[in-house]
Amino acid sequence: MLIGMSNFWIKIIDKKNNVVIDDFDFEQGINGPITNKHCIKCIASNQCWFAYAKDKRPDIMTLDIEDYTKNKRNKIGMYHYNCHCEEIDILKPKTSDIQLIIPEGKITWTFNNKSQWINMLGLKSNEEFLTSYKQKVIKKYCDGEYYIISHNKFGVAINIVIEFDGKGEYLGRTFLTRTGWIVFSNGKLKNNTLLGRREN
Amino acid sequence: MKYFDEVKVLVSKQEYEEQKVFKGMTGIIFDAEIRGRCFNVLFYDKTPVTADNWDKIKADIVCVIEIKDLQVVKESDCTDEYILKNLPKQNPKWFCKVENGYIINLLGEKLNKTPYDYDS
Repeated sequence: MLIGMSNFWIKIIDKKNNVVIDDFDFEQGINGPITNKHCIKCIASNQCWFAYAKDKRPDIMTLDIEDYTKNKRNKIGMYHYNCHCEEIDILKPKTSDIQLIIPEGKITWTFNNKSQWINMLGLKSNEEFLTSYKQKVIKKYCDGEYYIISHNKFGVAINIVIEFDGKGEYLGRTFLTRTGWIVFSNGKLKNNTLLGRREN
Repeated sequence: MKYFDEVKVLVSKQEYEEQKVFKGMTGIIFDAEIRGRCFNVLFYDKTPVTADNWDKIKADIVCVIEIKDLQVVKESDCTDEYILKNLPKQNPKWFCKVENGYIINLLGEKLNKTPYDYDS
Protein backbone atom coordinates (compact mmCIF):
# COMPACT_ATOMS: atom_id res chain seq x y z
CA MET A 1 0.00 0.00 0.00
CA LEU A 2 1.36 3.38 -1.04
CA ILE A 3 0.49 5.20 2.14
CA GLY A 4 3.01 7.95 1.41
CA MET A 5 1.24 8.74 -1.85
CA SER A 6 -2.12 9.12 -0.19
CA ASN A 7 -1.21 12.64 0.93
CA PHE A 8 -1.85 13.69 -2.66
CA TRP A 9 -5.47 13.93 -3.62
CA ILE A 10 -7.28 14.66 -6.84
CA LYS A 11 -10.76 15.62 -7.88
CA ILE A 12 -12.12 14.43 -11.20
CA ILE A 13 -13.99 17.06 -13.15
CA ASP A 14 -15.77 17.10 -16.45
CA LYS A 15 -16.26 20.75 -17.35
CA LYS A 16 -18.91 19.85 -19.92
CA ASN A 17 -21.01 17.80 -17.57
CA ASN A 18 -22.85 18.91 -14.46
CA VAL A 19 -24.33 15.51 -13.74
CA VAL A 20 -22.93 13.65 -10.73
CA ILE A 21 -23.57 10.15 -9.49
CA ASP A 22 -25.47 11.37 -6.40
CA ASP A 23 -28.57 12.32 -8.34
CA PHE A 24 -28.19 10.07 -11.31
CA ASP A 25 -30.66 8.82 -12.62
CA PHE A 26 -34.02 9.20 -10.94
CA GLU A 27 -35.43 11.38 -13.66
CA GLN A 28 -33.85 10.36 -16.91
CA GLY A 29 -33.17 6.68 -16.43
CA ILE A 30 -29.97 5.00 -17.50
CA ASN A 31 -31.11 5.02 -21.12
CA GLY A 32 -32.03 8.69 -21.07
CA PRO A 33 -30.46 11.51 -23.02
CA ILE A 34 -27.76 12.19 -20.44
CA THR A 35 -25.92 9.00 -21.19
CA ASN A 36 -26.10 9.53 -24.92
CA LYS A 37 -23.82 12.52 -24.52
CA HIS A 38 -21.60 11.41 -21.68
CA CYS A 39 -19.77 8.25 -20.81
CA ILE A 40 -21.33 6.56 -17.80
CA LYS A 41 -17.95 6.10 -16.15
CA CYS A 42 -17.37 9.85 -16.40
CA ILE A 43 -20.70 10.60 -14.74
CA ALA A 44 -19.86 8.06 -12.05
CA SER A 45 -16.66 9.83 -11.03
CA ASN A 46 -17.45 13.45 -11.87
CA GLN A 47 -16.63 15.79 -8.94
CA CYS A 48 -15.42 12.88 -6.79
CA TRP A 49 -12.28 12.94 -4.65
CA PHE A 50 -9.60 10.26 -4.65
CA ALA A 51 -6.18 9.71 -3.17
CA TYR A 52 -3.59 9.81 -5.93
CA ALA A 53 -2.36 6.22 -5.79
CA LYS A 54 -2.92 2.92 -7.52
CA ASP A 55 -6.22 1.27 -6.63
CA LYS A 56 -7.33 4.47 -4.93
CA ARG A 57 -8.25 6.45 -8.03
CA PRO A 58 -10.11 5.17 -11.10
CA ASP A 59 -7.88 3.52 -13.69
CA ILE A 60 -7.29 5.66 -16.73
CA MET A 61 -7.47 4.23 -20.24
CA THR A 62 -4.53 2.27 -21.53
CA LEU A 63 -3.61 1.90 -25.18
CA ASP A 64 -1.86 -0.70 -27.23
CA ILE A 65 -0.32 0.16 -30.59
CA GLU A 66 -3.09 -1.48 -32.60
CA ASP A 67 -5.75 0.41 -30.72
CA TYR A 68 -3.86 3.67 -31.08
CA THR A 69 -3.35 3.17 -34.82
CA LYS A 70 -7.03 2.51 -35.37
CA ASN A 71 -8.11 5.53 -33.38
CA LYS A 72 -5.39 8.07 -33.99
CA ARG A 73 -7.85 10.67 -35.24
CA ASN A 74 -9.45 10.69 -31.81
CA LYS A 75 -8.06 12.58 -28.85
CA ILE A 76 -6.81 10.37 -26.07
CA GLY A 77 -8.75 11.02 -22.88
CA MET A 78 -8.70 9.83 -19.30
CA TYR A 79 -11.27 7.06 -19.57
CA HIS A 80 -11.96 6.88 -23.30
CA TYR A 81 -11.22 8.68 -26.53
CA ASN A 82 -12.40 12.29 -26.52
CA CYS A 83 -13.11 12.10 -22.80
CA HIS A 84 -13.49 15.54 -21.19
CA CYS A 85 -12.54 14.47 -17.69
CA GLU A 86 -9.52 15.94 -15.94
CA GLU A 87 -7.87 15.34 -12.61
CA ILE A 88 -7.17 18.45 -10.59
CA ASP A 89 -5.05 18.52 -7.44
CA ILE A 90 -6.87 19.16 -4.20
CA LEU A 91 -5.75 19.30 -0.59
CA LYS A 92 -5.95 16.12 1.42
CA PRO A 93 -9.48 16.22 2.85
CA LYS A 94 -10.03 16.97 6.51
CA THR A 95 -12.37 14.73 8.44
CA SER A 96 -14.80 17.65 8.67
CA ASP A 97 -14.97 17.74 4.85
CA ILE A 98 -16.48 14.28 4.63
CA GLN A 99 -20.18 13.54 4.77
CA LEU A 100 -21.38 9.99 5.19
CA ILE A 101 -24.74 9.13 3.69
CA ILE A 102 -26.22 6.20 5.56
CA PRO A 103 -29.92 5.59 4.99
CA GLU A 104 -31.68 5.10 8.30
CA GLY A 105 -33.05 1.77 7.13
CA LYS A 106 -29.56 0.31 6.83
CA ILE A 107 -28.68 1.30 10.37
CA THR A 108 -31.87 -0.23 11.74
CA TRP A 109 -31.39 -3.38 9.69
CA THR A 110 -27.78 -3.76 10.74
CA PHE A 111 -28.60 -3.26 14.41
CA ASN A 112 -31.41 -5.82 14.14
CA ASN A 113 -29.54 -8.41 12.10
CA LYS A 114 -25.93 -8.00 13.16
CA SER A 115 -26.40 -7.11 16.77
CA GLN A 116 -25.30 -10.60 17.73
CA TRP A 117 -21.78 -10.07 16.51
CA ILE A 118 -21.65 -6.44 17.58
CA ASN A 119 -22.56 -7.64 21.06
CA MET A 120 -20.03 -10.44 20.76
CA LEU A 121 -17.32 -7.81 20.63
CA GLY A 122 -18.62 -6.45 23.88
CA LEU A 123 -20.09 -3.47 22.05
CA LYS A 124 -23.67 -2.31 21.81
CA SER A 125 -25.85 -1.52 18.82
CA ASN A 126 -26.42 2.10 19.71
CA GLU A 127 -25.58 5.69 18.84
CA GLU A 128 -22.20 5.46 20.57
CA PHE A 129 -21.23 2.52 18.37
CA LEU A 130 -22.45 4.37 15.27
CA THR A 131 -20.52 7.54 16.13
CA SER A 132 -17.33 5.59 16.69
CA TYR A 133 -17.91 3.65 13.47
CA LYS A 134 -18.40 6.83 11.43
CA GLN A 135 -15.25 8.39 12.86
CA LYS A 136 -13.22 5.32 11.94
CA VAL A 137 -14.56 5.26 8.38
CA ILE A 138 -13.95 8.96 7.79
CA LYS A 139 -10.44 8.84 9.18
CA LYS A 140 -9.54 5.85 7.01
CA TYR A 141 -10.88 7.53 3.89
CA CYS A 142 -9.04 10.78 4.61
CA ASP A 143 -5.84 8.82 5.19
CA GLY A 144 -6.32 7.15 1.82
CA GLU A 145 -6.73 3.77 3.47
CA TYR A 146 -9.32 2.39 1.09
CA TYR A 147 -9.31 0.57 -2.21
CA ILE A 148 -11.49 0.67 -5.28
CA ILE A 149 -13.42 -2.46 -6.09
CA SER A 150 -15.37 -1.31 -9.14
CA HIS A 151 -16.01 1.68 -11.36
CA ASN A 152 -19.15 1.35 -13.41
CA LYS A 153 -22.52 2.96 -14.07
CA PHE A 154 -23.43 2.67 -10.40
CA GLY A 155 -20.47 4.70 -9.23
CA VAL A 156 -17.00 4.10 -7.86
CA ALA A 157 -17.31 1.46 -5.15
CA ILE A 158 -14.66 1.35 -2.44
CA ASN A 159 -13.95 -0.83 0.55
CA ILE A 160 -12.66 0.48 3.84
CA VAL A 161 -11.37 -1.90 6.47
CA ILE A 162 -11.98 -0.80 10.03
CA GLU A 163 -10.94 -2.32 13.31
CA PHE A 164 -12.92 -2.95 16.45
CA ASP A 165 -11.25 -3.73 19.72
CA GLY A 166 -12.94 -6.57 21.53
CA LYS A 167 -14.22 -5.97 25.02
CA GLY A 168 -15.10 -8.23 27.89
CA GLU A 169 -13.85 -11.75 27.21
CA TYR A 170 -12.42 -10.57 23.88
CA LEU A 171 -10.37 -7.78 25.40
CA GLY A 172 -7.02 -7.55 23.65
CA ARG A 173 -8.33 -9.01 20.42
CA THR A 174 -8.89 -6.87 17.32
CA PHE A 175 -11.57 -7.65 14.78
CA LEU A 176 -11.38 -6.31 11.25
CA THR A 177 -14.37 -5.73 9.04
CA ARG A 178 -14.71 -4.46 5.50
CA THR A 179 -17.31 -1.78 4.89
CA GLY A 180 -18.57 -0.83 1.44
CA TRP A 181 -19.17 2.66 0.07
CA ILE A 182 -19.88 4.48 -3.17
CA VAL A 183 -17.88 7.67 -3.65
CA PHE A 184 -20.27 10.53 -4.26
CA SER A 185 -19.38 14.06 -5.30
CA ASN A 186 -17.36 16.49 -3.22
CA GLY A 187 -16.51 14.42 -0.17
CA LYS A 188 -19.67 12.41 0.20
CA LEU A 189 -19.63 8.66 0.73
CA LYS A 190 -22.84 6.69 0.28
CA ASN A 191 -23.00 3.55 2.35
CA ASN A 192 -23.34 0.21 0.61
CA THR A 193 -22.89 -2.07 3.58
CA LEU A 194 -22.26 -1.00 7.16
CA LEU A 195 -20.63 -4.12 8.53
CA GLY A 196 -20.27 -6.03 5.36
CA ARG A 197 -17.40 -8.41 5.48
CA ARG A 198 -15.25 -9.84 8.12
CA GLU A 199 -11.54 -10.34 7.91
CA ASN A 200 -9.43 -12.37 10.25
CA MET B 1 -40.97 -5.31 -5.16
CA LYS B 2 -39.50 -2.72 -2.80
CA TYR B 3 -37.03 -1.86 -0.04
CA PHE B 4 -36.09 -4.81 2.20
CA ASP B 5 -38.14 -7.35 0.25
CA GLU B 6 -36.45 -10.73 0.09
CA VAL B 7 -35.73 -11.48 -3.55
CA LYS B 8 -34.46 -14.39 -5.61
CA VAL B 9 -32.06 -14.14 -8.54
CA LEU B 10 -33.70 -15.72 -11.59
CA VAL B 11 -30.80 -15.93 -14.01
CA SER B 12 -27.10 -16.58 -14.31
CA LYS B 13 -25.09 -13.67 -15.64
CA GLN B 14 -21.39 -13.12 -15.90
CA GLU B 15 -21.49 -9.78 -14.10
CA TYR B 16 -23.32 -11.36 -11.17
CA GLU B 17 -21.16 -14.46 -11.09
CA GLU B 18 -18.03 -12.31 -11.01
CA GLN B 19 -19.36 -11.09 -7.67
CA LYS B 20 -20.22 -14.64 -6.61
CA VAL B 21 -23.94 -14.17 -7.06
CA PHE B 22 -25.61 -17.13 -8.73
CA LYS B 23 -29.05 -18.07 -10.02
CA GLY B 24 -31.37 -19.11 -7.18
CA MET B 25 -29.62 -17.11 -4.45
CA THR B 26 -31.83 -14.99 -2.23
CA GLY B 27 -31.00 -11.66 -0.71
CA ILE B 28 -32.70 -8.50 0.45
CA ILE B 29 -33.15 -5.22 -1.36
CA PHE B 30 -30.71 -3.03 0.50
CA ASP B 31 -31.25 0.43 -0.98
CA ALA B 32 -34.59 2.11 -1.32
CA GLU B 33 -33.91 3.64 -4.71
CA ILE B 34 -33.80 2.03 -8.13
CA ARG B 35 -30.81 3.11 -10.18
CA GLY B 36 -30.53 2.17 -13.83
CA ARG B 37 -33.54 -0.18 -13.52
CA CYS B 38 -31.64 -2.15 -10.90
CA PHE B 39 -31.88 -2.72 -7.17
CA ASN B 40 -28.92 -3.03 -4.83
CA VAL B 41 -29.27 -6.47 -3.23
CA LEU B 42 -27.48 -7.74 -0.12
CA PHE B 43 -26.57 -11.42 0.19
CA TYR B 44 -25.35 -12.39 3.61
CA ASP B 45 -24.50 -15.40 5.70
CA LYS B 46 -27.11 -15.95 8.40
CA THR B 47 -24.89 -18.22 10.49
CA PRO B 48 -24.60 -16.84 14.03
CA VAL B 49 -21.17 -15.29 14.49
CA THR B 50 -18.80 -16.18 17.28
CA ALA B 51 -15.20 -15.20 17.88
CA ASP B 52 -14.22 -18.69 16.78
CA ASN B 53 -16.01 -18.67 13.43
CA TRP B 54 -15.40 -14.97 12.76
CA ASP B 55 -13.13 -15.64 9.80
CA LYS B 56 -15.19 -18.54 8.45
CA ILE B 57 -18.45 -16.69 7.93
CA LYS B 58 -19.07 -15.99 4.26
CA ALA B 59 -18.43 -12.43 3.23
CA ASP B 60 -21.45 -10.26 2.59
CA ILE B 61 -22.06 -9.38 -1.03
CA VAL B 62 -23.83 -6.27 -2.22
CA CYS B 63 -24.65 -6.67 -5.89
CA VAL B 64 -26.56 -4.51 -8.33
CA ILE B 65 -29.23 -6.71 -9.94
CA GLU B 66 -31.54 -5.83 -12.80
CA ILE B 67 -35.20 -5.78 -11.83
CA LYS B 68 -36.09 -8.17 -14.63
CA ASP B 69 -33.75 -10.72 -13.02
CA LEU B 70 -35.43 -10.62 -9.61
CA GLN B 71 -38.50 -12.23 -8.08
CA VAL B 72 -39.99 -11.39 -4.70
CA VAL B 73 -39.80 -14.24 -2.21
CA LYS B 74 -41.02 -12.41 0.86
CA GLU B 75 -42.41 -8.93 1.07
CA SER B 76 -41.18 -6.50 3.67
CA ASP B 77 -43.54 -4.31 5.65
CA CYS B 78 -41.92 -1.07 4.47
CA THR B 79 -44.43 1.71 4.05
CA ASP B 80 -44.17 4.43 1.43
CA GLU B 81 -43.40 6.85 4.23
CA TYR B 82 -40.42 4.75 5.34
CA ILE B 83 -39.21 4.33 1.77
CA LEU B 84 -39.36 8.09 1.27
CA LYS B 85 -37.21 8.64 4.36
CA ASN B 86 -34.58 6.39 2.82
CA LEU B 87 -34.57 7.82 -0.69
CA PRO B 88 -31.75 10.19 -1.68
CA LYS B 89 -32.65 13.65 -0.45
CA GLN B 90 -36.08 12.23 0.37
CA ASN B 91 -37.03 12.91 -3.23
CA PRO B 92 -40.31 11.16 -4.12
CA LYS B 93 -39.35 11.24 -7.81
CA TRP B 94 -36.84 8.43 -7.35
CA PHE B 95 -38.14 5.21 -8.82
CA CYS B 96 -38.34 2.80 -5.94
CA LYS B 97 -41.03 0.14 -6.40
CA VAL B 98 -42.19 -2.41 -8.92
CA GLU B 99 -45.92 -3.01 -9.05
CA ASN B 100 -48.00 -4.78 -11.68
CA GLY B 101 -45.06 -4.88 -14.07
CA TYR B 102 -44.24 -1.20 -13.77
CA ILE B 103 -41.29 0.54 -12.17
CA ILE B 104 -42.90 3.40 -10.28
CA ASN B 105 -42.02 6.24 -7.96
CA LEU B 106 -43.89 7.49 -4.92
CA LEU B 107 -45.82 9.91 -7.10
CA GLY B 108 -47.20 6.97 -9.04
CA GLU B 109 -45.25 7.82 -12.20
CA LYS B 110 -44.20 4.88 -14.38
CA LEU B 111 -40.73 4.41 -15.85
CA ASN B 112 -41.33 1.58 -18.33
CA LYS B 113 -43.92 1.87 -21.06
CA THR B 114 -44.93 -1.76 -21.41
CA PRO B 115 -45.81 -3.77 -18.29
CA TYR B 116 -43.20 -6.39 -17.37
CA ASP B 117 -40.85 -5.10 -20.07
CA TYR B 118 -38.58 -3.23 -17.72
CA ASP B 119 -36.37 -1.93 -20.52
CA SER B 120 -39.24 -0.32 -22.44
